[in-house]
Amino acid sequence: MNHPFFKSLQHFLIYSGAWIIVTVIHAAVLLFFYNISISYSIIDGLIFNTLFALFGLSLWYIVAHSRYNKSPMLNGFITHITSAAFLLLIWISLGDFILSLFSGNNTNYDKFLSTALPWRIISGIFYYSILILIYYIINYYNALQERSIREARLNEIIRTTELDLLKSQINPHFLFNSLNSISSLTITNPAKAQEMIIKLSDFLRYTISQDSGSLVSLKEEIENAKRYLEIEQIRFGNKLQHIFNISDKCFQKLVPAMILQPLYENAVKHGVYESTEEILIKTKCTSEKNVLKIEITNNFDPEAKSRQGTGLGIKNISERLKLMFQQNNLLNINKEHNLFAVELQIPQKS
Amino acid sequence: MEIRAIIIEDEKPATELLLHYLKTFSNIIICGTFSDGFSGLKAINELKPQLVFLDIQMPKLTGIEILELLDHKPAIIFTTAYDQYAVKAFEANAIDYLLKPFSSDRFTTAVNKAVEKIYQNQNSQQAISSVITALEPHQTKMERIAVRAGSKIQVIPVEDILYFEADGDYVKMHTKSGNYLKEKTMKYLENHLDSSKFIRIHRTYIANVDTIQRVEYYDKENHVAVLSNNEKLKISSSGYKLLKSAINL
Repeated sequence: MNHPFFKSLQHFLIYSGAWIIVTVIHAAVLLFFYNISISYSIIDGLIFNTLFALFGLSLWYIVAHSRYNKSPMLNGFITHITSAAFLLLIWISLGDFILSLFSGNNTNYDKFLSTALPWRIISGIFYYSILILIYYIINYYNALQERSIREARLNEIIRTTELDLLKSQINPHFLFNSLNSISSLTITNPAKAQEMIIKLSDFLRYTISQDSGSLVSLKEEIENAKRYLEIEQIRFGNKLQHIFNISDKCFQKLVPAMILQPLYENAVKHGVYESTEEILIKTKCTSEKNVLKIEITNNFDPEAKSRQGTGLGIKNISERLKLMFQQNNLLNINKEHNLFAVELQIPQKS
Repeated sequence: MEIRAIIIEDEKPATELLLHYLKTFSNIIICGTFSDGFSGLKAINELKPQLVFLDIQMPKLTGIEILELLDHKPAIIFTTAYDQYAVKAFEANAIDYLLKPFSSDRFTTAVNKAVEKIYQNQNSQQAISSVITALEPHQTKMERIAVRAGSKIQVIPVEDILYFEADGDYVKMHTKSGNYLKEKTMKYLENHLDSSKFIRIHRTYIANVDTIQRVEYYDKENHVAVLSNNEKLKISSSGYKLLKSAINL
């Protein structure tokens, strides 16, 4: 716990400045309202306020280190009552003792001293409360900042692990089914088997080589999507159709690595796996005003009544986009009778 | 003696591989290949093959759903890419399976075993029922229930069901478009339906909370639930407690 007023010279000057102002007011009150000589007014103000300023520094530790597990309100209250009483006792007796070293024959001042005690107590309680309040605000603010830093770090960790997970979680169904198709093709069509092995290798290589949170060109992502869809096409034949409608200027735009793959997997899983009819997966990209729009649409069999999944993949993408671009609503879903559409908006650096 | 077999598999290369491996078995005749659950189930019930190659993941009905709906119970060899739970259940209950991709040796062993069973006239009934039971704990929340309605198969999303009623060894499912029987226990349904949506309001009823319009007093002790189609169902006192916590009466 670093003391807030020693954190930087600026903070220390603010604290000292505040006490200098209080000292000036203190002295002025004695001078004008109690008709005490200027030297005594200054001495009184200096001694008492300097002492409180010094004691006040230590109050930070009471605020910062008080952790009560049971009834924090009550415990905090008791702590402050006792510490305030203790501080006032020491403050006033020490102040009076130092003053006695300076004591001269000043009738006005002696008269003031005899009535000063209640005022000292009241002002002491007032200073104490103000200081404690300031300390609590600082403490709260610090905690808040720490928490947001921690959260940001956590989010970063989550994001990287999510992508690592994505990498390690190449859908085993997809992998084993593809291997089974290759096994079949080695007998019926060896050339095609070889083509599929190369596509599968390229797909796997791309999947495991992407760094978390990195940006790649849309071209690379689309090439990977095409590989994936072509592999699935070998399994499902004409049942799986795809169209890419992408304007040339989009290809060089940057998108987060592996952001599209889960969307194509969804389209195949909920569209192709569950249907006996043809499923068309359409991809359309346009670019306008520093935003790349990607729309992936597929039809599905509304009669399939399949589990429409938990939507975890889509939620994941939405979270990743939010973390990377600090914007909400970069992913929109539109589901109609037999059409499922996902629209991504990827902000581009101008 | 010739053995009649069919293949139910939604991927063409996988079907071709099975056909290729089967060429060496002169005693097995392929009566047909089917690429979705509906046509596959219909084929089993109509063609009554002795041997079926059955994929799990398919459109319309999964291989597991087909098992539950069979009249005619042939020898079955499951083919699957990756399904730990199913594989464990098959192993424990002497139903053979092939993990994709599989070698021709592995295939031959499986088919020979099945052929032997068929020649010995072993009934698969027992094995099939025990596999269904073994798979139960691993099934995720039920989202749909496949039932037979006469000669037709219906897949009913659970949200379309008003309530379930105990009916001897069966459960009667009441929907807006009619009633269906399913060979399940009330206990099973209670465990496998979304418990925030389906409440066991009575010994004989599990009601869909979304269809309950209001709850009325029946007499001093008992209540009845009035459904969207104005049917009234008795609520027992323990059922009333469950219902109250589910819909915060």
